[in-house]
Amino acid sequence: MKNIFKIVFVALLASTYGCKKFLDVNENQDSVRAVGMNLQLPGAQASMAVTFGGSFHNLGSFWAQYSTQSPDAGQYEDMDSYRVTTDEFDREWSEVYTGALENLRNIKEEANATGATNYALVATLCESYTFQMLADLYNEIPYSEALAGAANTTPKFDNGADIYPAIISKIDEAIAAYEANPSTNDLSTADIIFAGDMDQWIRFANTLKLKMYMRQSYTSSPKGAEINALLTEDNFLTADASMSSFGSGEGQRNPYYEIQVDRLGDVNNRASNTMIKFLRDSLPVDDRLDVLYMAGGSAHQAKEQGDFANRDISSDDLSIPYYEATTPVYFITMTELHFLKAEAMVRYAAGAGAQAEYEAGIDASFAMHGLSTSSSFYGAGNKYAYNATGDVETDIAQIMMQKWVAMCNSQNLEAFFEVNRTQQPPLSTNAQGTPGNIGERTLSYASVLSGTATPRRLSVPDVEVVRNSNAPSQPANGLATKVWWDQK
Amino acid sequence: MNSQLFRSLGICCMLIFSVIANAQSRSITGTVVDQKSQPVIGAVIKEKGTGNAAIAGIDGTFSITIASASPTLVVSFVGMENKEVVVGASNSIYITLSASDESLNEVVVTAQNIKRNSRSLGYSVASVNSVDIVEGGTRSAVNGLQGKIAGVQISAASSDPGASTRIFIRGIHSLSQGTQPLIVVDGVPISNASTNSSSLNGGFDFGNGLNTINPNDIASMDVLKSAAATALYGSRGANGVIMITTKSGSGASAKKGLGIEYNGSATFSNVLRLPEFQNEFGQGWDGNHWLDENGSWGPKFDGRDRVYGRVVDNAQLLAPYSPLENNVKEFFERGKSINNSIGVSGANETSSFYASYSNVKQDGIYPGQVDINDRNTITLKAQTKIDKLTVSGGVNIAMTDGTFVPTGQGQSGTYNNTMQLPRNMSVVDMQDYNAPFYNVEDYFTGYGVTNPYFILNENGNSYKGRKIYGNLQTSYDIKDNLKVLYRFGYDMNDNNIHNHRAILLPQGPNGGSIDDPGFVSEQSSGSQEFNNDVMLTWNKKINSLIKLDLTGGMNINGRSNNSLFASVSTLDIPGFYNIQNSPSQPVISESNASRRQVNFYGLANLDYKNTAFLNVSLRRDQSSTLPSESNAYYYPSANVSYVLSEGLNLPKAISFAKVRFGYGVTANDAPSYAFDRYYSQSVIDMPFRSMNFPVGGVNSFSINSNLANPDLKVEYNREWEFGLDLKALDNRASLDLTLYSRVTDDMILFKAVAPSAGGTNQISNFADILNKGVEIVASYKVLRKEDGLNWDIFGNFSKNLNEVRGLSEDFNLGGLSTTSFTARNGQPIGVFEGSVPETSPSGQVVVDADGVPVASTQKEEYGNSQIGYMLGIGSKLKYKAFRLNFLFDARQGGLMFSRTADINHFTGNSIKTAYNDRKPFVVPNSVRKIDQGDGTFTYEENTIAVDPAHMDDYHRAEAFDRNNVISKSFVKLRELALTYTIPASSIEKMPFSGMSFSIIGRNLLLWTPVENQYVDPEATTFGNGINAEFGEFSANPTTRSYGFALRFTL
Repeated sequence: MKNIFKIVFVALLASTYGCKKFLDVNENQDSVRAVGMNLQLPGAQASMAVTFGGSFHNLGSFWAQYSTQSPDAGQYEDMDSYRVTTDEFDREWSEVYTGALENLRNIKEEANATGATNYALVATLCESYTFQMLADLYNEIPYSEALAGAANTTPKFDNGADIYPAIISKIDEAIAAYEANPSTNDLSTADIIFAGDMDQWIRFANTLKLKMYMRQSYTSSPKGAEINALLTEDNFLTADASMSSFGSGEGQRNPYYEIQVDRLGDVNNRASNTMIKFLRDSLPVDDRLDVLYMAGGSAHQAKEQGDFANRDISSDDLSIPYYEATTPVYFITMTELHFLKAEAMVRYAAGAGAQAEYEAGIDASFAMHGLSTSSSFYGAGNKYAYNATGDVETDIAQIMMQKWVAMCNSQNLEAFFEVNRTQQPPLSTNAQGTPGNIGERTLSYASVLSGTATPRRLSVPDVEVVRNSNAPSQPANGLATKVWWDQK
Repeated sequence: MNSQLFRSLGICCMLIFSVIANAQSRSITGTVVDQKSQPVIGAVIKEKGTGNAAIAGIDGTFSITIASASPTLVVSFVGMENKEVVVGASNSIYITLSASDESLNEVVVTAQNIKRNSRSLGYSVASVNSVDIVEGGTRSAVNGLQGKIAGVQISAASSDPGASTRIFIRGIHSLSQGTQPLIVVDGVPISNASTNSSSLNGGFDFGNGLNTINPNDIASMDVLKSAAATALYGSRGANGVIMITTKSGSGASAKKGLGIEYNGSATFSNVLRLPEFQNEFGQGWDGNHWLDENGSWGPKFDGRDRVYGRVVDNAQLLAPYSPLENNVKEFFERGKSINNSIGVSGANETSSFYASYSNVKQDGIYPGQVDINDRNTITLKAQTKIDKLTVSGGVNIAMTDGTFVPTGQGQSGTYNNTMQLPRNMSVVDMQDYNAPFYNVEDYFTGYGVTNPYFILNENGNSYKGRKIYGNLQTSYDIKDNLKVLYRFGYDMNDNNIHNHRAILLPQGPNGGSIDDPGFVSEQSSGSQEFNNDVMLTWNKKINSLIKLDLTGGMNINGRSNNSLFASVSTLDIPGFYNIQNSPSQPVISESNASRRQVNFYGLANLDYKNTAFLNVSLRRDQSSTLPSESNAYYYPSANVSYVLSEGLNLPKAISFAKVRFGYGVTANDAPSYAFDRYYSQSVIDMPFRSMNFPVGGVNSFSINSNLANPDLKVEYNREWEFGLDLKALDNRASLDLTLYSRVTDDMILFKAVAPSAGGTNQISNFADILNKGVEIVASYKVLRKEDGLNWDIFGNFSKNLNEVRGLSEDFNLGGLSTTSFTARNGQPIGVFEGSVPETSPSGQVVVDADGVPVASTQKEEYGNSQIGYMLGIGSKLKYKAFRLNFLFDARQGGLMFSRTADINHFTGNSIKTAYNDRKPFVVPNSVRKIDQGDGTFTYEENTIAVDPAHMDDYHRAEAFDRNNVISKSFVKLRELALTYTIPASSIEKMPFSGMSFSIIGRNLLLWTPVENQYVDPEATTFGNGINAEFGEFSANPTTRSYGFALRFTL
């Protein structure tokens, strides 16, 4: 017996020697401490797609007047009445910083450390696009001090006007680094936007820069020289930058479809008469009407913006913005590129080549929806025929109207920015409660903003403000306060 | 040793199947009780001058074989006076033992399974014996403690068969690291994890570890409440410890003793509380008699025949337009529970064993086999002593199978669908859910509600739980006063949950109201825990006055759990509920976690003249879940006890007095994998849904949004307690008073951080919780007559105050988007906040154009969930062979959210909605708010009356969300038992040595404040933690149960 006891005792003593090893079980079995960049990139890009193609896309749908709140539901009355609460986009803010930007930052760090210049460039461009969109939406966002982790949990806010040049110089650096030493790490499955086509990414960089320069066209320092340099180089996108690998099952679908159509049963968004009138009421009817909207009854019917208190038409009879589970989320489209170029040519190249780009933009828009009848609309004498007057604002008005139509259901948030920048389509001067004319935006019937003010930005969400002492105080005019480039 | 063990087990098996052959000598049966008429389980009965002996079993009964004609029996039990009884010709005897002079010499089980005399402890231990646990006929041992222990809040989540029980000991001490006490069975911790879901769209609760234990296996439960008592469990002792001691074959000195004990009961249950319904208004909305409405906002009942429901084949149903007062009540049937337990025990000089089997079959109050619970347990224990070596071991197997009627909203919540029947519509008529008018196509309403019988019968879930736990222990007496013990304990749990919803795609002209492509999920989860303990004890009498005990020990602990879940949400073949029956890719998730600890402890007890006691202990824990450079923590404790009645000259009336003081430190360990950052499979958040990788054949991993914390520490609990134990009037009156104060600091919380830092939270140590309170336990023996009327009354009172400190931002504990439930700085845990009516600057209620109050954009605090006080009052009456016991359990104060209230306000079924006979009224002291167009407002007196067309808007207005948060005060008649113990003389010719018959009832009556017309306030659908205190989301109604029990021993 004594021997047994001794053996047990010695065994236990021995086990305590192995204590450190025994306790070393704090390695999470469901997750890993390190993963390859190729496995991080798809999630980061999908996070961009879900954020900009989901909730923000939906916001843009109301604020660019593609859709309005159905009278028989009420999920988005706040958007249509311009009183979005400061916690409305908490989720999206969290997702885009911790899902997209944080992972892109990790990829960049690892890519820089290992000389994977292609990964570094793709991550930089994705990050640049994301920061640019956020800066345009909020005007002030954490940028230079953001994503420092536990080292800085209250990063300072930077103004969009400072963020733009910083983004552009980072893009240039990343391109230079890639071109000096182009690495060939496999990106084919990791990059769900261009499948690792680096030429296309460089074109994406140029297109993004063109967009950002054009955004500054009404500021005191427009970027004509830079734009002309880009036009001269003419190395822009040759295909849409989009995420299109959606499936049909839950959790796999286009985010707008997932939320609005499948989860909420498509009961909220109904066609805004602003767009329906434009497509339908000046004959001939635009062929895109039937692909952008699903008619509730035998004909398309829509409500004036924000007129949800009026129940004269049942929501079942109103047209609904049309999406499928596999509809791509678009970051930058060919149609957008053509209109950007057309506008740039009008502004900075005396209009040379503008008409061709204008028409290519309409072609691309029709093509996106599988239509090929675009030329019958912009052909001479037809309703979208380009009429070069030589007057910059008049010519640009034609381009921006078509750009606004082309972005419907595909780039709603971008459309909201461009509407604000150029004030095209113009806001109707009719009193609140009276429909705008064809080709005009209607002042939302439900607007709570004073006078004819419309939303120009979002307030930084509560989720950030309450935890970051560096968050700016809300602007006096709230949503109606313009962002830095919004000066027309 | 092995042969003896096997022999014992062999005997046990033989005895189960055969009746004992009687010995040649004479046999005497009897019962041993204490002064409270409680059986003295384990009392030793010896025949003087011989080696014959027996042990009193459950109910205090024994059977002894005697050699002489008129023997003297010596009856003894620790803490009791020895008693000698001369037996005459009778073959049965009733023996009452009184407490020895050194009263309160009660032996209790303390931390690490060390048995101590309660007199020597500087903290209070609440000890409950087996009779008190099982008397009320509960299937769950811990439910049998309800109302019996001061400072311990025990709530059954629901009355659903097999549902779990939550326990808060002296309040809530942690916001994120678990709130439930550690459960220790025969010295070995077991998992008490609950298998439940708090989903709002189909919650369920298949119970927790504690209620897999057969209550009839339990000899006693000792509740260690304070940190002084639990410090020896270090980082596992933060929420208190429940020490469970199961029955064993015998005491050490028994020479012979063998018995079979049977406990059986049959109980029935019915609904304890339904909402109070109005019976004046019927189907409709806005005051109109609309036939597709799921509510009673229609016109007043007039008794005239009216059509109702949908038109099917040009036909429609017809019935008088009158209330069906019991339409909901009739939906439920009588629940049944059959409980059988048989135990066999035996012993000789060196060995003993105990074996038992039990079966509980329960079928709840829903019609059909949809809420059943079937539990089988097997226990085997044996012990043998060879010279200086004692070996013991035990294994327990519990197998639970069940089905549950899901709670919550949507097509899962049967109860919620039943609540949406207009007051004039019969539910029992709808039983045939395939019949015209009642099938899912033709169901009367189109508002997301369907026939409850369809849901009940076509959707479902099932559960299989297997638990095996046990221990093997050896101890060796190195010297007389030096002993070493080694114990291995193991607990293994294996759970499977299946869930399905039928394909519900109604066709036809009426089109039904819900579309569901069907759903199946399968979850299998398991957990394992092992413990290796070595303990060395040494005791020494220093001199005639001072005794010293020293104990040192080491514990190695490992815990792990794993889970695999898969679901599909579109089915191909109707009625086939298998993951493969779907065109869509299953949603799959897997989780695994493990943690380990290496712990050392030591304790010293000093006894001065059996009058003054000093106990000190220290434990060192080293845990795998903390950063390796700082993963070891120390937990000291000290307590003193001084018996005043021994040391001082107290008035004669006071027979015993003791003061005590204790201090201890315990902790909640950190969670696994919290101090480092990890990547896990990408899930992209979006409103209502998420995008889950892989997407389009590509997989992805994203960095975890917890910024991690390399400086993470355990969260500490520091508690002192002071107490006074008094016995007076010849031990007839007793009083036990305790004051305590506990601080939990360095609380581990996921602190929210600004997302722009790259994460949404960081696990950190911050904020404190303060709990302080008082506990009073008192009893009085009102009448005391041997063989006459004996009447004891007893009660316990406890009040706990708690407060959260050091929180910079509200910490979300759960709740809903309408009503939040948070921890808020400077407030008790569980603050409710929600909408309130908007008021003008002068405090008048702002109403809209219909005269209905408008909700303010600013939410306001409603109050909190903390209970003000708890009170248990009971009585035990005994007259000859009859015992009548009852217990009232009361809780006062605290709020809860009730979705049952909400839905009855919404549907206009609540009696509250018949306010003012639904006649138009102007909201008193109300104003209209006039927009001046320049951002300013003026207010003018409101003259718009709420008319019948807007009565629903009034009663379900967001401004009145406060009406869904109700008081959770209650008084319950918790237990009632009338027992008849058949006198030994009456059964001497039968093979029984003891027999009793009881009529029992649980939760028979419930009283609540007027504002709660809806639910049993103990009900919850939010699990077993703090969030359970939030309230209920269409919980199934709780029940009262009543029936009878039979106990006998052979």
